[in-house]
Amino acid sequence: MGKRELAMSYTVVLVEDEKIVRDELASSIGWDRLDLKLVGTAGDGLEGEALIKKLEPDIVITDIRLPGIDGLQMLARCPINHAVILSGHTDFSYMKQAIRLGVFDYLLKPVDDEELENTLSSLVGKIKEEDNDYERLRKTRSVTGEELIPLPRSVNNHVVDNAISFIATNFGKPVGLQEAATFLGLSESHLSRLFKEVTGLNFLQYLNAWRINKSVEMMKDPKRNIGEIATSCGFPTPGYFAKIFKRFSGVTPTQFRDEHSTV
Amino acid sequence: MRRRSLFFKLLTSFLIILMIPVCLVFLFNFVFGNKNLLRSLKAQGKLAVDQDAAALSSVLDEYRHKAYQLSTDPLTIQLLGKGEDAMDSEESRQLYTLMFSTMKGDTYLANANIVSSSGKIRFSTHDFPSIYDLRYHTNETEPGSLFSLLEGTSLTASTISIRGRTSTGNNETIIATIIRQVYDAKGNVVGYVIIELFSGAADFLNQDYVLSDEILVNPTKYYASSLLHANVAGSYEKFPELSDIPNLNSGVISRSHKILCVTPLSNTDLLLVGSLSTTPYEASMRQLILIILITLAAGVALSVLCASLFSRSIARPVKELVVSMKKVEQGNLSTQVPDANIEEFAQLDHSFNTMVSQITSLMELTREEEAKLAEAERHALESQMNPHFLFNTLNTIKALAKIHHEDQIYTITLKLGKLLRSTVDNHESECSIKESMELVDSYLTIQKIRFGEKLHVALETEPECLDAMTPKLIIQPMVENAIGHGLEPKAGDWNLLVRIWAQGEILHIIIKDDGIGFDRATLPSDLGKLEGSGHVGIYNVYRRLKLRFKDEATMTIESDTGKGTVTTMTMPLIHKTVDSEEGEFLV
Repeated sequence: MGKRELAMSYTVVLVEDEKIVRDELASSIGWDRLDLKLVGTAGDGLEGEALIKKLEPDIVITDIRLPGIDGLQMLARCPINHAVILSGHTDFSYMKQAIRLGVFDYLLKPVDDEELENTLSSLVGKIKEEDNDYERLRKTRSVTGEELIPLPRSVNNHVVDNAISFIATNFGKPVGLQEAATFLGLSESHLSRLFKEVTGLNFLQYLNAWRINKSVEMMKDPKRNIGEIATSCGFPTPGYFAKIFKRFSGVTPTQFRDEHSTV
Repeated sequence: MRRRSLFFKLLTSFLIILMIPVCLVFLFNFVFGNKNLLRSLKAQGKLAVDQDAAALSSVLDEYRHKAYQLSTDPLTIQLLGKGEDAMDSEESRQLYTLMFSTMKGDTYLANANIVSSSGKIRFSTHDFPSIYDLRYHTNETEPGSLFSLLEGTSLTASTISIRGRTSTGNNETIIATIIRQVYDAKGNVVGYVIIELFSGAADFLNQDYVLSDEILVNPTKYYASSLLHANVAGSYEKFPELSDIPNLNSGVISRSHKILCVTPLSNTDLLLVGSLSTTPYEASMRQLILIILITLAAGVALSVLCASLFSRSIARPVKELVVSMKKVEQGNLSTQVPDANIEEFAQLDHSFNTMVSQITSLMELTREEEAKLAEAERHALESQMNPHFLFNTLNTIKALAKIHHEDQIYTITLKLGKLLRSTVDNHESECSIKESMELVDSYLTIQKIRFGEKLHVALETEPECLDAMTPKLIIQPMVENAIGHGLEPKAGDWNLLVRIWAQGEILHIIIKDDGIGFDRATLPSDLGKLEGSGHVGIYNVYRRLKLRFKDEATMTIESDTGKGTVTTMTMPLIHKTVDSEEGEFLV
């Protein structure tokens, strides 16, 4: 947290097994220009996993084929919101999996540096927009106080109402936009657009906000530990839960619990 | 809805057509025919009998008058009063003269006899009939005798009897006897004049042959005799039909199988009865019924035959067609139906055959298309070593170039990577003009680095054509051809133009170079004839265009030696459908 406050830029971790390629990207990409900061690089999946967990970067750029565990597996184990994949593969099943892991884009080797910069630039724009949303939510929280994050429940839109009730039922399972779209019989792009238009939040933001609200409720029970709460709220790992929680509340779940139990 | 066989329907209609006229004839004959026939028979019979009766009465009147003349002649009266010896006297000869003159030569129709009441004097124009010989026949009860004939009749008038049915010596049948008594001055009966009428006198009877019999009837004496049949005479017992008509004077009566027409003879108490047998008419009526029934039976048989023939002639081609359709359903596309001998079915069969052969050729076309694609893929697979290795290596080269600031190597590596991706990694058969032109651009970027400033390229694409869909790899191979065969051998500057525009619903693509060109004779104007020739690249592009768009696509190559080559392609303008959102990355 402190890192971003110092530099006001988003952090990036690059995972690529070829040293030449790694060095080339590290030196060629105009990180500063993109308001990014490359905070670490790794040469295999396991090393990458450790590094990501340690540094908690905003963005991960990774190859798919890596020694140890592959790039997608690595992403699945880490609390990652935004990733860009570089690959020699065009296998569609990889792409599908990548979408589920919240991968922002998928670039094919040989990677055009210009293309990569364009991709990173639009990703930064998106993250900034999301941060603004979170900021807005944090501000409204201090006024109400009933819930950690106030969320619209009924929006007078049949489809979005159904999506919200889907979230209310399934937040404890590892579901995302794809499952909701399949459930509602819509295309993912359509649901995503509609949801953002009606609620002002995108689907994933809303889902995570819902999960955080639920976790706050559960934290009132002192017998439950943080890891258990993360799992039962549908977060893949406690680390990811902690990261998301911090984004919404500004503090980690443990800090939050300490503050509120003393009150 | 109930289903009935064709045969049943045809049979029903045939039977209806057959039944209507036959039933009408039948009905007409039985309701009206019998009555009409009977009425006309009655009228005909009555007319014949009336005519005959009038003629017969005039004949009878004539002979009655002759009897009167003879009986009132003084010579007759005088002679009858004399003895037996007078038969040879001079007066007797005068009497004979009188008798013959009175009969006026009608002696072949009738005879005249004069007999005295004592029987001693007898004259006759023929042989005197012995039954009137009063010397031997004095018994009144003896049938046929003079007295029995006179019984109960008026003594002054002539008596006409029909009972004297005897045959004379010359075998004439007597139909009537006229008897008149001869009185002397004192009023005593001195003798009798008897005229017997032969059947010849009535030969005018039944000249039309309408009647089966004509009977002269004496209703007071219940005696009758047939005028047409000899030897049929006697009381009513011999004419059973007459027994039913007592007191009948005139009219027509129907009897079973007979019609009787009765007319009285004027000035007599006799009746003439004409008998008309209806049996032949009834027989002909029965025959008519029989004919109708036979016609009906034959008609029904014919209907069954025709219906079965017709239904079979219709059902057979339909059945053949159905069988053939089943075969086609099961996938046997070599099925052909032989033309039926009914025009409409022949047309149907023809259409069916055409359809099947069209399906066959369509399937062949699809198969060919698949084979082409499979071959193209095989080629691609053969040519690719390990794409992942290839692309990773390119990536490494690119990284190295970048690190060492080798901009041209960097660019060539990137573009080569894109080029390889679109040929090796892309399994779609179609792509947009935008993708095609990116590929062309990648290719030309490399070539520009290779050949430096002498390659001048102009790529002109109308913006509305960018999303037009065409088979992939139709432009780049032709650009490659232009550079490889047209421009590379040429000294000096190279100019290449690729222009893409839309005109209405047609997409135009031209690839033009100012290279060395080639002799037009070496390339056929119909590029389809290139199959199996050395121009694999051109034929491949041409064939894929044709497979995709059939005759709606054209491709021509024009060249002038030393001046350059122009490749022109046209095809329908098909815009990309907007369902490509699925590929977008979403969060």
